[in-house]
Amino acid sequence: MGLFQNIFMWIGTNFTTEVYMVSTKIQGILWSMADIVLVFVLLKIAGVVRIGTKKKIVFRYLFLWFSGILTPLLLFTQTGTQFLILESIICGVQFSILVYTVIVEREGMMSFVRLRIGK
Amino acid sequence: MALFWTFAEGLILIYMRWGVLFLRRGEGRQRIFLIFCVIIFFFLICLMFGGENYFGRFIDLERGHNLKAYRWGLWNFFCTLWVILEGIIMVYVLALYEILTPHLKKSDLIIKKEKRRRTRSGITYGIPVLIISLFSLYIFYEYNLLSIIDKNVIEDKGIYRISLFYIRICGLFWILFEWIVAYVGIKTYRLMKES
Repeated sequence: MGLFQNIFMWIGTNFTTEVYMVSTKIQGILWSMADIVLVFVLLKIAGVVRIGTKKKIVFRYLFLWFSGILTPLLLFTQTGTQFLILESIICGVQFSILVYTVIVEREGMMSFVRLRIGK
Repeated sequence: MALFWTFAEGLILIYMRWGVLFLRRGEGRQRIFLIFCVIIFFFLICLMFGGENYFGRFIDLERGHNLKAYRWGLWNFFCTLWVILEGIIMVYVLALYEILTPHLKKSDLIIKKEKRRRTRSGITYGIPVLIISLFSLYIFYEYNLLSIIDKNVIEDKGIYRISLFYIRICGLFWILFEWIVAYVGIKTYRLMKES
């Protein structure tokens, strides 16, 4: 067998469910944190665009903090199914905020940019 | 779930592409691209729901580990697809940032032209490189896994673990791309706030 196939055999023996769960939790926390930062920044940008025109964004921040509170709970999940359900809730909330913001704020953002670019 | 997340990622990608086209050309029409996306998505639906029947005509899926290998191969294919979509979104976010920077910094025309040139090359080469390299990784991984299965030296549990490991590799790319997008987002926000 070649080098890679030997590596695969090693993975097949040593990448146990326990190791998988630990690595999944670490990765889940890392990408959920990235999502929180990303959505938070998007809301901040929307806030800059909204200055002097519309009301401040409130509910989307609340939903984002809710997903932020849920994120550390990923560490306490016991099975893959529990992790998947919790991760789906967290990602679902963040994704909904992201899509809603992109759709609702699109025109405002473009007007803001258009003003600076002159198109 | 695989199709839902593909759709979700695709939706964000379409919006990002619209933004880049709009800023570059003054309008963001992408009818041909949308038709292309719908066709691809239709093929993905067919693959998801009819793939076993279709490939079952050519491969005996009931024999040995074939069915297990096929199902994991399909799931890992979708994982690769999500990472590719996320990577393309990252390229478009970088492009948006490069288009916006000179305008928000109010620098001169030469810098503007330079930035636009760089953005164009970033999209021109960045996206094909991403697609080719990540699909190559997928094919390379699946090829090696199938070679081991073919030699009958691995059990079901081994296939399961090797396939899960691939998802963790995809996870690394996913995290990297997401943090790059988040970082560029922070930089864009700062620029917008200062402008």
